[in-house]
Amino acid sequence: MRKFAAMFIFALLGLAQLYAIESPFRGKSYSQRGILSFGGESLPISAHVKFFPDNSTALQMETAGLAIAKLKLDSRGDALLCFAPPPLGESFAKKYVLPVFKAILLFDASYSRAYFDSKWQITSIITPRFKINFKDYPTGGKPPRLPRILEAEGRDFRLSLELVNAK
Amino acid sequence: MKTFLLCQFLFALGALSASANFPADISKRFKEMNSVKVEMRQEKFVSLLEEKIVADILLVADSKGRIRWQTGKIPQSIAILSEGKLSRFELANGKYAEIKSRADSAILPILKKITQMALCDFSGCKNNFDMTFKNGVVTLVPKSENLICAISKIEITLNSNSTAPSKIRIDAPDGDWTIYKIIKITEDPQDLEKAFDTKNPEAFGKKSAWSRR
Repeated sequence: MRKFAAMFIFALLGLAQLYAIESPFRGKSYSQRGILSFGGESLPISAHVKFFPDNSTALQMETAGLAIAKLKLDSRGDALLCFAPPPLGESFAKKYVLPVFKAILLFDASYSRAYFDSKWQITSIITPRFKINFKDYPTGGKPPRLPRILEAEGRDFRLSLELVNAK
Repeated sequence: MKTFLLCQFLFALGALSASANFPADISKRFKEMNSVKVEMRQEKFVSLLEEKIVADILLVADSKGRIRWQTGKIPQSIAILSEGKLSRFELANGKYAEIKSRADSAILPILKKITQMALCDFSGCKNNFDMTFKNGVVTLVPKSENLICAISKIEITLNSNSTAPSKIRIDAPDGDWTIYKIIKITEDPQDLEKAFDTKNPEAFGKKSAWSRR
C-alpha cells in the first residue's frame, strides 16, 4: 500500500512537472538552418523566429533566399497568419509547418507525450502524426538552454535543424 | 531562384551598354576577366519579423562557365555549377550533405544563363526586364510572370567611379527586400579550381578566401 502511495505521489509530481515545463524555444528569437525532406524532395532551409513584446511569435521559413512559409502565432498558439506562397501553397504550411512549429513551442494540445532528461530538459515529444527530438543541449549557460539540434519526423516528412543563433 | 538571379544582374550591366549614357567600361572590364571572385554582405529585411538578417556571400565565376555561390564565411550552403551539372551542399551536423532536389532542374537553366552573362552574353536580360538608368542607378522591372511573382524591382547602384556595382537591391512583392553590398571584387582569385571541386566543396571559401575587413 505504501509502495502504491509513493508511486502515486511520484506520478503526480511528474504530471505537475509536465504541465510546468515550457519549451526552451518559447519566448525566444532565433535562427536555424537545415534540411526538409518530403514527397521525395529535399530542400535546404533556414528558419527565422522572432518573439514579439505582445507575446506573439513569428516564423519565416526560406529556401534559396525565397520564403516558403510564413507563420504568426498569438500567445496561446493560435495562428494569426499561416501562409506559404506558390508552388508549395497554404496546404503545405497548414499540414507540415504549423503543427510542427506549435509542437516545438509546446503549445497545449499540440503533443500527447513528452520525455525529459535528468535536468528536466525536454528530449522528445510525440504527437499522433510525428515525433520531435531535442538534442545536444549545452552544458553551460543560464537555463532554459536551447538544444543545438532539432529533428522532426513523420510518416511523410523529415526535418533536421541546427541552431545558428539565438537572442 | 532569386538568389541566383542576383548573379545575372551583377554581370548583366553590359546589357545596358546599349542604353544611352550607360558606362560601357563596366561591361568591357568584366568581359576581359578570366575568373572573378566577389565578396558581398547580404542584408535581408523580413517584413514579418520586422528585422534584418545578415549573411556573407561569396560568388566565384570563370570563363569556362563555372559558378560557385556560397553563404557564410564558414560555408553554410554551397552551390556549384561545373561541366553543366549543378551540385548543392548544406552544412548539417558538421558535415556537408549533398542535396538533390527536383528544383535543381529549374535552377540549372538559370545558372547556365548566368554563365552566359558572365561571358558577357546578355541577350536574355533585355527580354525579361524593362531597364532604366539614372543618376548611377540601374532599375530593372520584370516583365515575365515567372519573375513578377518573386521580384517586384531590382536596383543596381554603381560605385562613384562607375566602374563596378557597389550595391544591388532586390524587392519582393511580399514587402521583403534584400541588399547585396559589394565588398570586394578580385580578378583571377587564388586556388580557383578548389572553388568548383564538388568532391571537397568546403576546401575553398573558408576564411582565407575572404579579404580582411
